[in-house]
Amino acid sequence: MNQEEQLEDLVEEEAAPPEAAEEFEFKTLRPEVSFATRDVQPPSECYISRDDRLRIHAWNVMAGGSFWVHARILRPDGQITQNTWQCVPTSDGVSNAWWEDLMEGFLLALNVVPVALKAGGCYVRVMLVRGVAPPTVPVAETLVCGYLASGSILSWPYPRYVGPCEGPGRLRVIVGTDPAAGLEILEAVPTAVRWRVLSIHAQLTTSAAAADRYPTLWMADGANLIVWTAPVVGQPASTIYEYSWTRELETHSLALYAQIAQVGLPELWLTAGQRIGTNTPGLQAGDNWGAPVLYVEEWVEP
Amino acid sequence: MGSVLQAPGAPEIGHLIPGVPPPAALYISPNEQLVVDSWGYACQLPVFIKLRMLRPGGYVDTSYYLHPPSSDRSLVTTYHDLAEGHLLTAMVYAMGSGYHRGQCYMNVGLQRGEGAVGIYHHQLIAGYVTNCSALVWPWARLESSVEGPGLIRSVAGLDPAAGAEISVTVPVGARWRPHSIRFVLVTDGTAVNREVDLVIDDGATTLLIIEPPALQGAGGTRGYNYGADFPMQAALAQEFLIPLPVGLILLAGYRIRTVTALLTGGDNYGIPRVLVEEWIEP
Repeated sequence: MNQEEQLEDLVEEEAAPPEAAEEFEFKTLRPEVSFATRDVQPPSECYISRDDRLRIHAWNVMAGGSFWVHARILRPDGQITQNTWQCVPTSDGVSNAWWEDLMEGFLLALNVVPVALKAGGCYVRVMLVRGVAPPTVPVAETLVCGYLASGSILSWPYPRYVGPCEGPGRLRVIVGTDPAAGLEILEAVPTAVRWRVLSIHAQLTTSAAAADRYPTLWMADGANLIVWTAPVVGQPASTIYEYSWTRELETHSLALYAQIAQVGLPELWLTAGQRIGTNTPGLQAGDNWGAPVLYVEEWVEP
Repeated sequence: MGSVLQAPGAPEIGHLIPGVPPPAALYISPNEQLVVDSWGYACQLPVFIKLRMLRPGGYVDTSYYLHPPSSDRSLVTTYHDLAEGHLLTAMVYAMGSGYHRGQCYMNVGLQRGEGAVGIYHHQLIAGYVTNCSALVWPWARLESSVEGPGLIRSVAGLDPAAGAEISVTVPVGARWRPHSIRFVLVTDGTAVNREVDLVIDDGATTLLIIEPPALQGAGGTRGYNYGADFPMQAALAQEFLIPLPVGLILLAGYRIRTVTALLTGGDNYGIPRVLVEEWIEP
């Protein structure tokens, strides 16, 4: 049976009425319940008064991303109107806010539709508020909140409220700063985000100065050290070693072929301002770290 | 055996029977269309969308629509005209086999206007449809395509020619979480020790290098097995066990490949087999 025949069978199976026994007596009863078709109660739990406005809030870290907000409102004259606003947030993770006037009526539906956004990159909250500007604006109702991503729309009614640090984050490959010769790697978590560090990769080229180097990786919350890792072999002069720090791997280096060093990392969550760096006992002035490559899962954290 | 308590006399509360307000919060005006989006992988049969609507005459109308998802994770959109009324329920379900979790992601909503120029204003359903679970409205959980369990796939990579390396790329429109990797390397008689490193990159930039527990000499056959919670171990005579960070999610275009120190022209990798959990990522 080919696909077309299977499809026909399925359609017939779906559309065919059930077969009845010959002695079965059919009765068609009129329903006892009747429904109002005039003066029907507005089909919405959200009344918008003349003083209410829409407040749209976004925290975005994805360049080139934007979104549309569509609201469908039943006006007092019975007409349904469609309202649309385009929002283009900055990509620096700071708060972006839009205040939109509304007309009196009943909110039937509200959607937030992403454009060029990926999971974990743009967190949006839409509220009904009364008044003009903060700080004198009591929140009337949060309609939707969550991350926008291609194929994922925030929708009201029946919304699913998602916090900014919930669900899948944005997967990012970050090429860090390339340190000058003799200096260590140092990276900081940017403002308004949290990171889950998946892996870090970097290359160290050593000069001819005769000494073994022992690269360690550390994380700190400003002044306090959080965790420190170390390789199991030293790196001699005039060599190029690749270092991979990652979760769920044990620290290991082949004794006969040590140019690649793999170092275990714990499950590591870092917030804005916390730092990651190397500290290399034995580092010489002519040694040179390449730019580190960090693979992280990132969430917006206002 | 329990007893049913029944108060004497008629109930004190009376309910409206004629002229009941429609039992649905969603009014469909005459200008609305149903919009169905899907992103499918290897979907052989269409999915069904079934609606129950309370029509202005007071009767409940059931209608259904067919929607054919793609097989290559690309977007397929269909538009369906609707009659005026109140939407009571909506349901998306698959018939037949072949719909596993992670295989077909669907969005169903309403728009005002026709076709691609209509304005989308109401999302009803978002999630993966499977053989045994329908997506429903109302009270549905709107789910993103990259959350929850994904599709479990055993992916066979290409068999490299002798002297060539293994490379497996995450396909367009997908994201992978590798659960295990296995391949075999047969070395020729050249008397050098090979080191097989597993490299994960984003198509250009190296993210991670995983070393083996030992080197492989001439004239030998070794199986390389990567998995979660494996110890780093040269087990038995011919198998290496190597830990794999299974929390590592790979996006489309990312690669899993080997880089082999001192690989010779006569060395030969077999077909790599990667067990992945896969999600659609539009």
